Amino acid sequence: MNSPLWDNIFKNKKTKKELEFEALKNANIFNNLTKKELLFVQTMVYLRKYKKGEYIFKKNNPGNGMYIILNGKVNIIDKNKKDEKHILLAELTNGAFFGELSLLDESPRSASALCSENTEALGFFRSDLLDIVNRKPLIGSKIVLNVARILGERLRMTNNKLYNLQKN
Amino acid sequence: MMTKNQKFIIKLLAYLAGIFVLFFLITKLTSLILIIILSLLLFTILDPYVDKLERYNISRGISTLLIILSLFLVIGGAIGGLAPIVKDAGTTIVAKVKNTNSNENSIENILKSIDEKIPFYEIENMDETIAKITPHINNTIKELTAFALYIGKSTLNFAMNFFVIIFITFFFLKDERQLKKGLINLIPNKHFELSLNLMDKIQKQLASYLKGQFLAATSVAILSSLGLFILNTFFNANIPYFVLIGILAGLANLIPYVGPAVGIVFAIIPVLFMGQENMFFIMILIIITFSLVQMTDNVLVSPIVVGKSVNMHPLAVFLVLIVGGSLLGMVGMLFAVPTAGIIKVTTTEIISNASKYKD
Repeated sequence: MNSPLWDNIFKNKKTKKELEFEALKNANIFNNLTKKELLFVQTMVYLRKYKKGEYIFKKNNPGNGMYIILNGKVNIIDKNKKDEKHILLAELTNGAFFGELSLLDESPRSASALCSENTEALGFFRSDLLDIVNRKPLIGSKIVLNVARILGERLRMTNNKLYNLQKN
Repeated sequence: MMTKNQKFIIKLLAYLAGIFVLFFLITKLTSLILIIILSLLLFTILDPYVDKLERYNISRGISTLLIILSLFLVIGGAIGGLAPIVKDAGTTIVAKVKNTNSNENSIENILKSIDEKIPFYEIENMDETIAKITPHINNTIKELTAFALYIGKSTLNFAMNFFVIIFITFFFLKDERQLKKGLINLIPNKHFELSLNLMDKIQKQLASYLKGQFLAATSVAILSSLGLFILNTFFNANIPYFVLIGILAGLANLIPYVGPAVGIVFAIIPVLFMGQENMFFIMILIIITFSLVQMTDNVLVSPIVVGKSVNMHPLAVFLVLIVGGSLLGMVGMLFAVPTAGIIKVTTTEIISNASKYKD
């Protein structure tokens, strides 16, 4: 029995697991990982559901890991030191990831992550990364290399900004 | 609308009810809880080895199976090797005690040899002492028989529980990830990162603590056996079952302060029964040997393998031993300090981490 309407609905309907896989595949941090390796990483991540107005983490909490947004919207905010009002640093949506610096050390979060819509996010933590390095060193080294690459890019950008500021 | 006080009272009552239900469950399900705790401990010890196997591209299931089979081999080998020695030692001790009872002269002989061979110790009025001791020995034989039956029954129970523990540990190891995810899913978002961090740190601390305890006990067992072997070889001490005594001393070493003394007693008892010429000299040598083993353990082995994370105050250790002993007897004393160590590690981690997650 063919029904163009129902066929289309079910064709485009992806399962939660497929969505998770897609999100992992598109995150820079998991670049160069094969399908099998990504499936292994998928067993290591945590799917969390947040309501609008709920914090994913707060500034100064110990950083434990990163999050990838499956769907929803997350505001990265900080407080203005003068009037204690929130300053919006970034607005992140589907596919974006944040907090990857915490994969390397436990230094406190530099800002808070607040959900501005109902949000689903995948959490990937330092303990899980170390677990991967321990159990599957090849996958672990690929991820660590990607983290290093992202941090290198950020450092380059910061250096450029600093250079421009000094020039002006 | 409820007032603040009413809310507080309801919360308090809910907490009290919760604690009551928890205590009720603990008392009703003690053996099940004990089995799960032991399985978790075994899981904590074995997990790093399963992880190591996984590095060689062996699936988690197969790695777990290999580790569990290796465990069976080690335990089976240990039981196979030790069972005849334990049986032999048990038979000899019971025969000696029975012989002592049937022939009052034997008691006299032992007392005389103690009187003669141990300086500064004199037994006054030998006949009266023998008359006093004989009923005690009769009681001891009755108790020994009952104890043997109890041991037999306990061994059977232990064997059954052991298989249950291995069965649960197998699934803990194989499905570690799913179980952890399932548990973490139950935790509200507010405490999610804190809980994950805690679980990870506690697991690491526990693994190193248990590994340390195991290594320290093994080193004491090996050193004690070696020490007794040297006494047998170079001083003709003729201490029987020195490997068994060494293993018992290693196990007893898990009980701080009391353990080392228990090890000495294990070694001295057979010497007393044998009533050799140089009994006093051998006893002194045994005490020196065990003191040297303890010194080596305290100065060289324990600081490296156990670490300082679970250092407990002697008074705390003493109280914990009393509680363990009154709850589960000798086994309770054996597990009391490691259990208290686990509780201390967990509480310390919770306190130090929870403060970091405050707003």
